[in-house]
Amino acid sequence: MSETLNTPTATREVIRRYVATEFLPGTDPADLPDGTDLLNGGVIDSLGLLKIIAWLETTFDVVVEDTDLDPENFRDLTAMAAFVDAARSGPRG
Amino acid sequence: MSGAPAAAHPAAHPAAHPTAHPTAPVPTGPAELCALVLGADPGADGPARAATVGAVPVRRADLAGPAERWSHRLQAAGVRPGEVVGVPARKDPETLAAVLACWRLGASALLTPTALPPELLADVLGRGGCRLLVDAPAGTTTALAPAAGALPAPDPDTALVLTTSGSTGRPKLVPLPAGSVARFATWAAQRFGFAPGTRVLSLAPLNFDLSLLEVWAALAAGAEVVLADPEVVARGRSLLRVLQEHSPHLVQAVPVFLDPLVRAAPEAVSLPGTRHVLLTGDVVGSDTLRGVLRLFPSASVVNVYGSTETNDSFLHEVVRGDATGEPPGPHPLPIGRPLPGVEALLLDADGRAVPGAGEGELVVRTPFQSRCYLDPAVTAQRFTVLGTTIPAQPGPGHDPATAAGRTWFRTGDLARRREDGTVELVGRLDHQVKVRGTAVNLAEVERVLGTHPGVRAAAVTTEPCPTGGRRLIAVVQVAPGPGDPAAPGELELRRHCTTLLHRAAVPTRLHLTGAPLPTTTTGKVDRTAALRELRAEGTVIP
Repeated sequence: MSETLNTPTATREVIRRYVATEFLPGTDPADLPDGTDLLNGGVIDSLGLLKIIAWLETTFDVVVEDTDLDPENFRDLTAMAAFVDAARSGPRG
Repeated sequence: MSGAPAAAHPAAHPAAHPTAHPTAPVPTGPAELCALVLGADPGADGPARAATVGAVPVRRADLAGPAERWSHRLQAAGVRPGEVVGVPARKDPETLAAVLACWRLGASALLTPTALPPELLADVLGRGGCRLLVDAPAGTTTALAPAAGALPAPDPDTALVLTTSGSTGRPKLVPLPAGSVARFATWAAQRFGFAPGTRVLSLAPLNFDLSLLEVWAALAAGAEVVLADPEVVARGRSLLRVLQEHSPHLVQAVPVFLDPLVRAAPEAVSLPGTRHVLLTGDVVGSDTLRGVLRLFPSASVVNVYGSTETNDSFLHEVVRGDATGEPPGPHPLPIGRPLPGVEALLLDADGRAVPGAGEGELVVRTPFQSRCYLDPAVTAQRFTVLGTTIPAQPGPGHDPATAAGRTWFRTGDLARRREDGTVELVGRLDHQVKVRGTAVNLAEVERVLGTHPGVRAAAVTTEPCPTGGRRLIAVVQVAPGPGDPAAPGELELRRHCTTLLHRAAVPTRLHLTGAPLPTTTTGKVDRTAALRELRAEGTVIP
């Protein structure tokens, strides 16, 4: 699985499917644009944010430190994919 | 029904409102409250402990300098006594200093929720009559254009203006007198032993009434307040780390913080340094309660009840189970008995006071309360002068002679008084629910959904949340039907909600349908039936 996940585009697509399934059941993932503000758009609330962070940690085998708990890292699909890819290539491995 | 002796009656606190410290007069206005919070010699406490990720310790000694600077800024901006200044409710020392500076100048601070959408923020500031909005991190203020809908100015002794949910989609503004804040601070300091050297964890947003205890009462007693970053401590393992690093003597939390904390804490971990745990804001699940008792083995655990308008009014002490592992006390936890100086009545359906054991709407009068809403038209719905609008009825612990002519607050909570005088909540008389510790009015959410041009009807209710508490679920009839390009999709409806509602009021689940929603015999949307139909389809968790 890690091979298919290992590009920014692939990462973003996996996150897109998860967000659509978990937070917008009934919505086609293709209808969820990369730059949609998921926090201010009412898709992900504070509890949803924690859920998605826990899911990102498990799915992509990354550690989200307390210093990373900045909503800007999780505001939209692009930001989340960039965060995951940076965390995977960073010193934390 | 009666038979409870007067001494055991929850309303049996006919004593006058307690004064502040026996030797100190109760502040009469915001300037005196500022002096009370900062203390006579706030510079004498030495340097603060270091901040950690997500937690900033602060004491009044640290605020004296910043408050002085903010006083100069606000004075230069023309702030006058009696004015209402807009202050975004951020959890940082600069924001606390700006509030203190408002008070020093005889003004009040309207604490605006940080999650408020721009349109609602403008509406709140406009109705509050704010000329100025504080930008605490930048150390500046922004001048606001005069708004047409400004409400009458609050009484000149107002210190804080808080917001609370209403049925109209616009938050209600609650002015709190300086004396109410000071009396509450005095009670809290005495009840929980606040003193220099005490550490108090502040988890709640600054605009919640919970901050009166966690922040202002603690500072006024010379205690240290550990300001928690809500983004960080929302995560259980992060909150546990903050608790381990700062070892607060008092922790007050709504279940939305306690549920993940208890789940994240390993069995072997305990926090013996905490002396008081205050549960509040919502029903605490039995698993969470057991976890709290285990995690805080040395703490006195209490369930506290209150509302923005009255602040805390009831308290129930949780009795720890014995060595047999017997679960503690009854469940759900009662709200207990009134705090000293608090008077409470249960009003039956005819508006008469229930004399002993029985059920009715909980109506309270506290030394810590607001006198009214800023909007006089809204005040009449909840604040009531007993003896004129409510037929007084003599009974144990209730003296109509002292009750008449004074302002009481109708909580909207249906409560039951047991034979022993303990009070427990049994429901709501309106459509208000608690979502993650925040009051949300179901009718308000339905009204907002209904203002979208593609929405025919909406039914909003709650369902249990798998991680604890309850969450909002909305069934929305869209035209011509879900999936139709002409009909709004879920993303569009969510965007619509976030521009008109506080974040806690945006439904977690939105179910779109093309079919008309079931209605009651009076033609109103039937929330219960709408949810039942969804369950029948297997769409939601039964």
